[in-house]
Amino acid sequence: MTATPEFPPLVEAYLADLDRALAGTDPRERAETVAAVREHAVESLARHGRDDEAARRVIGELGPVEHIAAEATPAPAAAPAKVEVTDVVLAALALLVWPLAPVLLVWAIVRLRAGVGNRALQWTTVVLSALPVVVGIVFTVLHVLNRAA
Amino acid sequence: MYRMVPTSDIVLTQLRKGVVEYCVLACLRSGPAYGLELAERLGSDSSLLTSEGTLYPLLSRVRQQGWVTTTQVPSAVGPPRRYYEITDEGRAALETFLATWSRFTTDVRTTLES
Repeated sequence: MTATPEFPPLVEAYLADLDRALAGTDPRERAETVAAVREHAVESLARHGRDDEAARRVIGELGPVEHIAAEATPAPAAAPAKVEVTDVVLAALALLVWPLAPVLLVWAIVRLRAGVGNRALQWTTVVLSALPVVVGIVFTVLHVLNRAA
Repeated sequence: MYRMVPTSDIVLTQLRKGVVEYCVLACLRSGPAYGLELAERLGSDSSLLTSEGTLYPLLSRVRQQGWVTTTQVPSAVGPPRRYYEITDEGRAALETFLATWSRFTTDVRTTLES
């Protein structure tokens, strides 16, 4: 296999712009489009030369990257985050049964780190249960300090 | 309600949808072609493509549809060329389009000129 010859920096920058413009489009179409446009540029530069003027001409013929991206198929929308019963119950318990806060806090963090269930609900549980835990720790420290004094 | 008179660019964008891929297939009837060659067959000044680069997302789609296949062929000027070739399925799709298109354009012309 022949290595891709070095491109004029203008063309390399154009290809990088194109790849960025194609973010959010079908991944296979994105990869194929960038590869095919790269080949097109190789062929075109072989005809017109490799100086800046040739590079500008090739880029001009390929057209604005936004126009190319507008022709590409948008990537399929990601499936909405699933709401699992566990996450709802954890959030509800954090709100209602605050003595369980340390347990709920750890449980929600474990689920967050595992990447399962609904992240928004897990963060709600973390915030709701962290509050009584932090307040509890503060009161305990104050209590100990008062006794020591 | 937002209203506007469409520009010729907007009209062209709408007309190209569902048509240009068949023009690509038609250009491949005479034989396989690599990207730049295909862009030339379509015509660099033609109204079919906004610009040459817009050909490639379209080619990727028709390939995924199975209407064209690609083959890498060594090239004298650099890396291998990707040749696009129409498949039997692509030819059948083009035949169906041609028959429909001919009737459609006749009706459009008759209506516009009446």
